[in-house]
Amino acid sequence: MDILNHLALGFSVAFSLTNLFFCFLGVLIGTLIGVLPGIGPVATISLLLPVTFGMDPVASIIMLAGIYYGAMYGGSTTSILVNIPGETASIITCLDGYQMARNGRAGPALGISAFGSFIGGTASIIGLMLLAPFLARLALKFGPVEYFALMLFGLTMVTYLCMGSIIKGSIMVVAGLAVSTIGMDTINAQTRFTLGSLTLVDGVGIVPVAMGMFGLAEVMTNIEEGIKQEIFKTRISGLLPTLKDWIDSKWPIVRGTLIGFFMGILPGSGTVIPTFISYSVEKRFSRHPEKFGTGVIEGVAAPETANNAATGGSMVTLLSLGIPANVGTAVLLGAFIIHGIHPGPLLISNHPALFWGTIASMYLGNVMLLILNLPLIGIWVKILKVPYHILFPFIILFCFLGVYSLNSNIYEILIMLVFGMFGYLMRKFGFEGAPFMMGLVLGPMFELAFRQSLLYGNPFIFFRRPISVVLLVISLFLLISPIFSEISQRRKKLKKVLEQEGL
Amino acid sequence: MEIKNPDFISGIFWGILGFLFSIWSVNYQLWSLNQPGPGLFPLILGLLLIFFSLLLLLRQVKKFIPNKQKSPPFSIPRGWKKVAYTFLILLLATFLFERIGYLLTFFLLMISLMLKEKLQGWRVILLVALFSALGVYFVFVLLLKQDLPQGFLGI
Repeated sequence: MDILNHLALGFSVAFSLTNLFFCFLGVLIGTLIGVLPGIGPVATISLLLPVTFGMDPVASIIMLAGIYYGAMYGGSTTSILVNIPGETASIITCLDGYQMARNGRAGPALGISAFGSFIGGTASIIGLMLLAPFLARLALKFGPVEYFALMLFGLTMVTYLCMGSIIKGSIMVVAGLAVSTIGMDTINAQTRFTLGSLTLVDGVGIVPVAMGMFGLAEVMTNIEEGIKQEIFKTRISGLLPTLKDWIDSKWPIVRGTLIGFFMGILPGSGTVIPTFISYSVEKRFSRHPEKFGTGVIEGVAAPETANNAATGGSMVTLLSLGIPANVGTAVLLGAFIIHGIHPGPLLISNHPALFWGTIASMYLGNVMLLILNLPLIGIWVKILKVPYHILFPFIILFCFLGVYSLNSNIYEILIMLVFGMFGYLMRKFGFEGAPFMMGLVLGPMFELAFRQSLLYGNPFIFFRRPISVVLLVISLFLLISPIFSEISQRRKKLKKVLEQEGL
Repeated sequence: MEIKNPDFISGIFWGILGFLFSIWSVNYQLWSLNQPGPGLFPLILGLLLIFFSLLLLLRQVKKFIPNKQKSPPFSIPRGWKKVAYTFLILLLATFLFERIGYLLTFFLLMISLMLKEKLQGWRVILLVALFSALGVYFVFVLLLKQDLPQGFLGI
């Protein structure tokens, strides 16, 4: 009953004309940047952050959240029609989506991806609505020790789940944490590592770094490698999936929702990993796994459902604990802080209109996205035809504008350029940007929790609290687990060699 | 040019950075009045950077690592000149931004970025550059009331 009352409050907030408009604007921009390869939700949220300064915080968060989950819808269009993921979470959709388009089934592929996204997105909001208040109540019992362990667990998960090596992921997390220490120390108010620069006294901002590492670095990579936009020429008809398509897709959608939501909650999994897992699960469950990759509808329905469900899941830890689960929510956390709101256990009780209004707007946003995506497919196809050599100067221009608009400080543009080049080079050397960004965002909270914990006067305090011990043990296990798997692989190899030699 | 072992270079780079960061951190108080000082956390991070970079370097020793896990050789990409050009253009734009104002900077920036690709005629390039600079004026300055440097043009 309580939840229904809260939801009624949420809908009364979300249905105001201003919030409806910003929700629509958010999902529209989200879909657009999802469709366009080379710019993702992280860079876009960072870009639009300064624009929201004068706006009401609720409307700002509703719009920025709309961009975050709206991008997941748009990404599939590019994957299916161009065989290039518009968004990283749609990489796996290319495999079967593009093949479906080649087989003349672009319509059902786009249709099932929109319906799957809607079902996954809506179900994950129900999960978010039920789970976030419960987690927030639990988190009220957390002290700095538990928070430190929780953040350490989150950072370890980021390195464990990143696509490259754990060592490289760990280096990026530590580097992000190190950069976060630049500026004023939160406890002693002493400036650190500022090189005498006034800009650096406030620390290295999240927005310039995010724009550099995810906007500029992406553009530089695309300029260097060159994007080949070959839109598959086919008549897109029959967007509504047939009964057979629904029968084939119903379980992939259910499983995609569950995998996406629960993986989304895990710090570090982001929206990409759930899509890969749901695709592998479907392949394993399928009666015809050999057909995957040739254009089966399950290969589109499952990952597209999972990436939308993951957006709802990732909002759980952000709204209830104040800890972002991935880079997208990390930038959203920055948006909350800029508007003077600290997400965490007290968010629901201190800002009920914001919390429930955002949740209600997500329901509405998903409906808007479903309505937007299918009829506007022709427009998205036309936008996709804009050549990248015309598009990329605009992306750079927006990055430039977005960073300058923050504080009217030219040195922040320099910070963006430095991190753009850094992000580009790190990509070339096989280092991912997401762990770095998570380290940078969580850094100040992580250091504060660490130092407050040490005020108890016992450096072993982290091993005396049960929640902390459990989280630290899991983190340690995650870090050293690759060693075990390598040892077991070597043992198997040795056993094979010995068997071959007849010993 | 090809770098056969890019992880070795990365390991050295992060190791040196970790070492410098640790040395710098020691300049701040590590512990004061029974509480951790501002230098303690950065020092731990610097030491962790050294530790992980050593692990990365150790992985390059053959007996520690199966070949399949090694990073592929790193070749300087063919398009590096385009990246360097874009970066230099952006540096120049940053330098000019507050001096000549946003309108001229964005106009020149767009021309310079599109010019490199040489895929469009001059007329298209000039039109796109002009409309994007004017678009910024209408959307960001008039509509969103953003404070952008005006330069000598005064708008």
